[in-house]
Amino acid sequence: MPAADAAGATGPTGTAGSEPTAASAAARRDGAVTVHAGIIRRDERSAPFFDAAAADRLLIRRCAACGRWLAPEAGACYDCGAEDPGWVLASGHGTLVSWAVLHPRASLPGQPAGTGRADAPGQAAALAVLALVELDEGPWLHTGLAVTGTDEIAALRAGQRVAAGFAHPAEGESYPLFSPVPAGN
Amino acid sequence: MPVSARNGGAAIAGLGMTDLGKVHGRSPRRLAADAVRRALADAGLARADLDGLLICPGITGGLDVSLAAALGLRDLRLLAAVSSFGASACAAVEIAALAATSGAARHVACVFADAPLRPGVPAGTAFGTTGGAGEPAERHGLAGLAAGYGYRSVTARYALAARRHMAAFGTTSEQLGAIAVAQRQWAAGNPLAQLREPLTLAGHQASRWIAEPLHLLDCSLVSNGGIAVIVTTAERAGAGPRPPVHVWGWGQGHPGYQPARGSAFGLVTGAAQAGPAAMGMAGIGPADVTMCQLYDCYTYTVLVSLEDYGFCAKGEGGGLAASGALGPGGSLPVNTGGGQLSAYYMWGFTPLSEAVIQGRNDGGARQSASTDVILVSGNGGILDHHATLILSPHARG
Repeated sequence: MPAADAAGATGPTGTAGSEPTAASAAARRDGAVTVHAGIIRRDERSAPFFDAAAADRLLIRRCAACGRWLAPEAGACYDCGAEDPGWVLASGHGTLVSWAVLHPRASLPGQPAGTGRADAPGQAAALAVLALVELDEGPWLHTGLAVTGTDEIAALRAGQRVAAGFAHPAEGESYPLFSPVPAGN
Repeated sequence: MPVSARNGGAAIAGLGMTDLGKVHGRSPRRLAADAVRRALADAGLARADLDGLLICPGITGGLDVSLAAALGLRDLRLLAAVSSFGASACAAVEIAALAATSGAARHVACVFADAPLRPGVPAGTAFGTTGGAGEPAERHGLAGLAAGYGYRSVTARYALAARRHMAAFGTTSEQLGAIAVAQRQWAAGNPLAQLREPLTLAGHQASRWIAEPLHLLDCSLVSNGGIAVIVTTAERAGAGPRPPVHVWGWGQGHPGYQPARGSAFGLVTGAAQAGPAAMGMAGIGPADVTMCQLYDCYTYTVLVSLEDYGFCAKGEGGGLAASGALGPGGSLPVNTGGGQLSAYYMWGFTPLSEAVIQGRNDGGARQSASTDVILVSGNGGILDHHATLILSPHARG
């Protein structure tokens, strides 16, 4: 497991091992990027995943019958069909397959479409970066990136190394957010 | 003898279109019934002539096999919902053509209708792109987490596909914009198009980001309305009042992307399988296609489809798009009515309807002379489903 990054923590974490880091400090400093996924509540199926996230650990699944590694949301092995694949600890390391930057609606509902501008004032206040991450184990995670500014977004490259960190919001469950691993690490 | 060639093959004998766009106050069911009635009238058929009905639902729901009773249809011999999302139109015509040429049914209506637009609500709401006041205070489970990251937005998922293509092949936003510009040029000649004012590349680039790398003007419209076609044998279609549009071939491709190493998501679509199948059945290759009506939920979808169909090498779709070939006067007319980007968003029935209009020489100011071999595509899900038709105003030789 990589060291916990606590990226995007927005309040008291209440969780050991999640000291504020450079990433979360940067997020507070310039306020440029919203990296949180909102308030997430567990359900019965996802409880192990969120328990692990609270402890800065990433769980994925692995088929007991055929050994295939699967994404956390897999309810059955797509290869051999075995149901309810078990949870296993993932390394938390992977490569960036693709990313997308969600821009909030620059105009309010009811305003004609197309009147917003890419450079609308204040728009950068609520960017969120989605990411497809290919874990070293093989599965893709549909996840988010804890990048903290437009320069970092511009520097993203397909195939670059990323590592899991964890957000510990004041309200709701903890969850993974990935960060680029500086070259040479 | 191939199924397609029996009875001279299949053909489209009727086209029915309701008012399209900001058409409020009518349910998908009413819109669908209206479209079928219009298609029957267009084909010169009575209701009793119809013995097959294939129903393609949209996102709003409320459209199922009970439409047959709502239309007062009796003793149907083929009735089913066909749902592979944006691929439904081509898939339904394939099934209808198989039924007509095998004798399972004589005249089969294929219909789509949807009404996702509501007065005063942002157009993207039904597709998760604009949440507005509908954002929940909290979300549940892993699906809730995915939604929280932003995966509730269909546009964000396509943005991931487009970004992967850009990263792999150097495709640019300006190349995507060239597709939007070319389609708007076509739309200027289409009285049914919702957006007809000229668009420049600079205008495309200045439109706001929805999910970077996709601008607003990389995204389709959202429309209410219904469209139906009547499929029968070429022989029967030839006896009707309107010029038949012949079905030369069909194919499907469902890549079955799994979220794991080795996935071609964003790089190669089901068109790479559906295209060769459809063209092979028609006895043609990409060089023989004279016009394309391509599924264009996003500009990117057009670009990657052009590559997968073999109109250029993989990775060179951006160059093809920027070459001017796709617009009016170009060597490969694409989406000659403006497509879903500029005309109307009726899923696969947008490209299908424009193919019929062009094939009948009904295109008015936008009519192209390059109608000999028309490739029609449908794309469903997040590039999960693809279907292709090869249509022509000419009977299969």
